[in-house]
Amino acid sequence: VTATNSTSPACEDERTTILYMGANKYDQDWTEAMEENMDSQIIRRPDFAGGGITDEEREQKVAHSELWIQRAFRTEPADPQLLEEAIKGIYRAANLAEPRVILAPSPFVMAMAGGIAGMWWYLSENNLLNEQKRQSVSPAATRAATYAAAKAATAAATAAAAATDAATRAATYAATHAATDFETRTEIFTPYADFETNAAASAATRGATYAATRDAIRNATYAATDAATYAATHAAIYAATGVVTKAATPSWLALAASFVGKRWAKAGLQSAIRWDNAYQGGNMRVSDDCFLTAARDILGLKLAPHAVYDYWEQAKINGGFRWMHPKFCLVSDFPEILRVNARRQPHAEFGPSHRWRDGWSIWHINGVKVEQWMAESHPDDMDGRRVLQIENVDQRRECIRRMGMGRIISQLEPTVLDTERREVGGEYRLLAVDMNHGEPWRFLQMVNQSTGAAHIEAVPRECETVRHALNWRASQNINEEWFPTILS
Amino acid sequence: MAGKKLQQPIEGQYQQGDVILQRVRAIPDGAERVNGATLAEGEGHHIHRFAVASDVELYVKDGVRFAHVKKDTTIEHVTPDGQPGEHKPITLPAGAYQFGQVMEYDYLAEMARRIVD
Repeated sequence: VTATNSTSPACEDERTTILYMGANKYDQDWTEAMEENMDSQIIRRPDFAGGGITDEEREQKVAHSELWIQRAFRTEPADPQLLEEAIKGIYRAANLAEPRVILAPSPFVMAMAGGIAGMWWYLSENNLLNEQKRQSVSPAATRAATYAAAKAATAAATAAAAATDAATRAATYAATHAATDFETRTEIFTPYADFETNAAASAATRGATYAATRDAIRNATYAATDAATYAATHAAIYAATGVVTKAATPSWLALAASFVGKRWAKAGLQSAIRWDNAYQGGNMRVSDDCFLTAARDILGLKLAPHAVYDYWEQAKINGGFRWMHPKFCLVSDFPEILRVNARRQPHAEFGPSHRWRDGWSIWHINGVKVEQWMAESHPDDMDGRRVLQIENVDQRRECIRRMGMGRIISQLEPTVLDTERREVGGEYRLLAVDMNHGEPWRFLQMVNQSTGAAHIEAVPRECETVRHALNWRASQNINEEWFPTILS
Repeated sequence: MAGKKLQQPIEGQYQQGDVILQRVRAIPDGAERVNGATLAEGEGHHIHRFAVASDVELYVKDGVRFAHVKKDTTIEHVTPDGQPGEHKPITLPAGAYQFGQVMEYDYLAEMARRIVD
């Protein structure tokens, strides 16, 4: 890759020579390169872009970012043919055999089917599929099997990413998911380190151009999409597969057994929770791709790795989360509903924030994952006492916000025991509320000093004043004064 | 039941969301050094942390946590990816601090419990 050679081609401006450093010198020379390049003239070549960006490019990048944001929020059905071509291209680029590509109706189905299918392939390849002498296997054997099954998928996913996407992304992925199989993935990844797109694109655009383009485009796209797409979906899959695999209900075990037999049914389910060893985010994680394609489409870079990157890009555009396995690739369809608030946080009232075509849904209010009743109940029908017993304070706050303090007060008819206004912290009220559960409970009503949202938190009955309540919250001692100089 | 006269804040006390910090004279003898710069992490995975890890050293003794803040520094509330959370950053002067989290009362369990967010 020309752009990553340490010896530069002829260069119009000597100060930009330093930008032609090898990828492995990136960290140590980055600051120096930024400073050196501040005054460089605009340079555009197929193998290099330097000197900052022009006004015209600045306008283009806004539209480019919006294009990727729209791709992240796609809700029409995915096109299986486009997806299959892209996925097979990724596998070919990674020197892997073309897999069977299956469009799953939701990320949840992707994870469950991927887990069970991965176990089936592991058992099949190790001649264990028909071994049904006992009803079940030991926990240790289950763990070993799920680990081995996940390892194969992890290898495929890592190789595919390394061959077509970023070394930095894959390394970060491995490092942040180290609990599973860090060493193996690192070894697998290493041979592909020189053959990928991101390092080349980064090296070629390093300096002021890199900073202006990458920061603006990547961060803007990330901020606009990640919470509502990747973060929300990732958390939901994780929670849903965790519930299924830990509970291992008879119906789920029966489903798994229908594929891998009774003996390995539990291992099949437990493989599902390893979905995040082998997944890629598809159209729900696009900020880095927005930058990579901006470098290509706006700055005009034409780099050798772009040929295989195209497959990666098309897979991003045409599908959601995917489970990569040597034998198959399960790709989630786009959701049919994806609702956000003005801050592009996942948000919907009276319905799910996300719903896929098989009905799998998740609910959010202002970015907080909530239960269905919290989002869909009409505020007039919400039970204030139930709301005050919600354990998660973020969910409780959003339900209080939905109901409104007026509705809460009118429904619960609290007795106001004390009020206090503080220079730092604002207005506080100590409330006594009949919760239909013995003596009235006491709550401290306050305002979040950063957001203005109302909070209500329970305090013990020994608290007779706001001061007592604030002291107790900090030290569980009503007489130990707590009055911070700064509160945010 | 009338509102009380405005009080003055107490020097050395700081709070960001459910994280509280109280200045102390020194880190107690025998406190064990712990890695990291995170003060608290919620179930929603928002993190209260020192923005510059090298500005602080964290310690624990008998379950009580302490921070030696080497120079004025910032506490931020962020997502795991570093995006801003709901609580604004606060600046903490150099010094030794004891820190923890506010509690609320669980009437059903009849005991204090840590705030879940």
